[in-house]
Amino acid sequence: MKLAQTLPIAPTAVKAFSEAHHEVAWMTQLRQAALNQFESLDFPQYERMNYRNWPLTETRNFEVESSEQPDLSTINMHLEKAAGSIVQFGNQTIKIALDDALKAKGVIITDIFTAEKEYPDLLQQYYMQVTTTPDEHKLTAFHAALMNNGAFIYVPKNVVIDQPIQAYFVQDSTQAQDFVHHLLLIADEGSEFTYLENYETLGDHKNVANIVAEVILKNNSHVHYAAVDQLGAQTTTYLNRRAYVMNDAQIDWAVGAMNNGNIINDFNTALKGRGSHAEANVVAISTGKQTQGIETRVTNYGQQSIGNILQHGVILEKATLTFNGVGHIVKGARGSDAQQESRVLMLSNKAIGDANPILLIDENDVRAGHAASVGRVDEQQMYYLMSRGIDKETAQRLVIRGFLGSVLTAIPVKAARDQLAETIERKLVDGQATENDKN
Amino acid sequence: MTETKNTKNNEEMLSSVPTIDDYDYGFSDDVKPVFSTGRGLTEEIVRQISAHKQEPQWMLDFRLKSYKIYKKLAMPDFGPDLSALDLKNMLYFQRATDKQYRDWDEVPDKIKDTFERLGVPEAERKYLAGSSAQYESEVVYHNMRNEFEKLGIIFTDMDTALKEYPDLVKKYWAKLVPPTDNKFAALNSAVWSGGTFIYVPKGVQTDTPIQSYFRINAENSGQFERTLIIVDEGASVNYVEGCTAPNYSSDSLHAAVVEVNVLKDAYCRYTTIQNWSKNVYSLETKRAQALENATMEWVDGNLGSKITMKYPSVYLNGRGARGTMLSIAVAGEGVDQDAGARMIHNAPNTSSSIVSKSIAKDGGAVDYRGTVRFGRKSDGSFAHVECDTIIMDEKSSSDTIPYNQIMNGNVSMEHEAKVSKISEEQLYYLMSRGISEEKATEMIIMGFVEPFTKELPMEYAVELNRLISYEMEGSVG
Repeated sequence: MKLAQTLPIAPTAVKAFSEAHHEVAWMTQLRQAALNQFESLDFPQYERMNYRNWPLTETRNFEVESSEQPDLSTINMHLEKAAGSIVQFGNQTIKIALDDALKAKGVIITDIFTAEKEYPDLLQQYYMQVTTTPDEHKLTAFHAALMNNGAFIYVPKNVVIDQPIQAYFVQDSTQAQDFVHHLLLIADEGSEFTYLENYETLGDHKNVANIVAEVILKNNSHVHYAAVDQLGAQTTTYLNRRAYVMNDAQIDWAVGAMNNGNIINDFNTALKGRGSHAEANVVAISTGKQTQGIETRVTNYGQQSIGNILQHGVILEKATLTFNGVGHIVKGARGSDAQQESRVLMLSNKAIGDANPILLIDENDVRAGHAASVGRVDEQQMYYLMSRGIDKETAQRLVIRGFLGSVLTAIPVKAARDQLAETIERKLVDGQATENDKN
Repeated sequence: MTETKNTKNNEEMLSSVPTIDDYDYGFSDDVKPVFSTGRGLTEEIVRQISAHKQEPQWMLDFRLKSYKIYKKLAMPDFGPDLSALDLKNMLYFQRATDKQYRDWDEVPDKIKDTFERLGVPEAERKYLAGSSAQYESEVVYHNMRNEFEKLGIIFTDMDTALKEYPDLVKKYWAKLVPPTDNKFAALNSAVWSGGTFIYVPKGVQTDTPIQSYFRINAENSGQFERTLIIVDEGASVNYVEGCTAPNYSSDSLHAAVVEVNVLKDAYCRYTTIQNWSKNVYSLETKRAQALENATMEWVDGNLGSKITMKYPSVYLNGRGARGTMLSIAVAGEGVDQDAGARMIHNAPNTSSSIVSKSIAKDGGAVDYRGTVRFGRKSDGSFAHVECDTIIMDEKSSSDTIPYNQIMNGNVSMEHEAKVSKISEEQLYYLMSRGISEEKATEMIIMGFVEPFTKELPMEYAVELNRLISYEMEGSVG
């Protein structure tokens, strides 16, 4: 199977879909322009990632409807502590909740189609305009043309929210359906909040996911963005998470890449403003025969901006995990700082691990550094645990949990944190079991 | 070794050449080649080169095959911009003399003067076991002291080696760097000329360095030396090469292929001080293999050239093999040093170390580009990579692009890199003790490159310090 250079989608189908959703004219045009451009654009290139044989552009059904009352009992949701939440399944929005006090302050949580109509100015200003554009490459054009669900979240000026805003975006793989999901999250000046996101899959159909999550941080805002990605084994994904950070704003990313299928993750933060700051923490576990490619990029444009990347990964069985860390300081970003650390634990001789820490420095008044390491589980820690009567597999999982702790501790909701710990545990137990079968 | 450079005579010669400040080797001579294939490259020229050298049929076949590959391969799709490199206008083969000399007194005066000014014969008298000098396409002078010849060490130029040791050459030829490796390796394979051949027999060990000196003289010249080193079991060798060229407004090309075979328990250190003038493209393919318990050490100084693309590698093919790379790169105005190393761990318990120090100034670019790969069979192996860069001013830039690929669960790899300007704290400390900013900057830079210079033969270390101090002049303010 090769990546298709053209899309088997008629312009009339896109137009019909847009009309059926009563979309505003500029959105219909944006879709059609993207569809027209698809053929002439290139695929994005990520160092040391080869996805040429992935069916990323093989659309099956972007317009088929999902059930409005799906059985989501297998999806563990922890919404008790949420200040606001949104649950979506396939191309349906199942539930939206928002604290009345926050609603009164002007906080918005809604689906993307409603947002188009109710908040046209914000949407038109930011939807695929700032962090990425439909013509960036083929996969963003695919997204712009076929986007079939999404969420819009807005936190107004100086609103500080203590409890997290939570999102569960569940891919509908109970049938053949493309999951082309968009998130637009805007933190207005001086706002601060935590956003907790879950991407999961229900069902076993072979499907394509193309996800774009955009975060706009206006001056002095601060967003804690925690994500647990658990897309299914039959899903092939392009996941594009972008942040645009203005003066003195800060984004703290904590991403757990716990997907089970093949995925390209493009995590990209633009530190546009003076004194802007990004902490990008990513942990990943690759198991089975899956390939997870993760490129975490922070570009320092603003003076005195700070970008830190921390990536920790574990690879088992015959899986592949590629970590690209890219710290780019452009000319003029004086006094800025770009640091990164990539660490990979290899638990199998059949696995493939790549840790490529790349620094691109066009300015001299800076501090930049990277460190990378690849190795086995720490023998001393193992010895310590096993000498206290803990069996080897459990000891190994405990050491790994410590190794992945950087993201675990960043997740604010205990139930969600426990859930990620469970997911890590399950992935590791499954991986260890197959490992032992072979030995 | 530098005293001979600034005599009155030389200054007169210098005046006829457009020189760039601070480059001592930018002079040229009006040596007329006794034979040249002229500008450009065709299959006929490849045949002419081979015929002139009276080569065996297999080598002609190899050249012709390589020429076909060269025409097919694309330019590198990474790194510096090579679009200004005018391959059509290049002189691919020039013979400067009719014969090769063993005695400096016999070398034609003009060529001799050149090497005198570069300090080559003086260095030989002082501390070298053997020395050779390549001028344009071929080696013009070559000598080795008797005591080393008696040990059975073969040290000769590649053209002679092909005639005198055909079996040995054929056995190792293009085994590490096939012509398909990259476009410039293919070009070298088609038009190679000169270079060094060294064979050190089993168990023979010598610390005294053997040196080759490469000089490009004419404008638009291509130099395509081919070096093959075989260090037999338990033997050791220390090889040093230096490179310079005159300053011209148009470009020259140096595209070498170097293959080093370090057999079981053997040791090789290969030191390069590349100080090409700022009109030379230095696009090289250097590769070594280290067998069981063997050690290969690259020591690589890149000070000159317009664009350098060079990533010497060590294939750690035997259990317990070791590979190291210690490099510095200095890029001034208009210079792009794109250099690094590759360590390929193919056997158990192998280890490698890469230490790279780079300095960018006056708008220069220094890039580290390297690879560490642990293959399936690399159980118990270890790699360490350290890249440090100083960017001296706001016009300069630096990219660090390391690839670390791991296909074995029982290995460990550590990688660290830092990019910064000159440390304000160190500057402040030195200046508060009455040292001028210029001197303080120089001292910090010298300290920064010291891990490299201390590994050089003394004469080279002195020369390198002088060069860096020259480069640093005027970099404050």
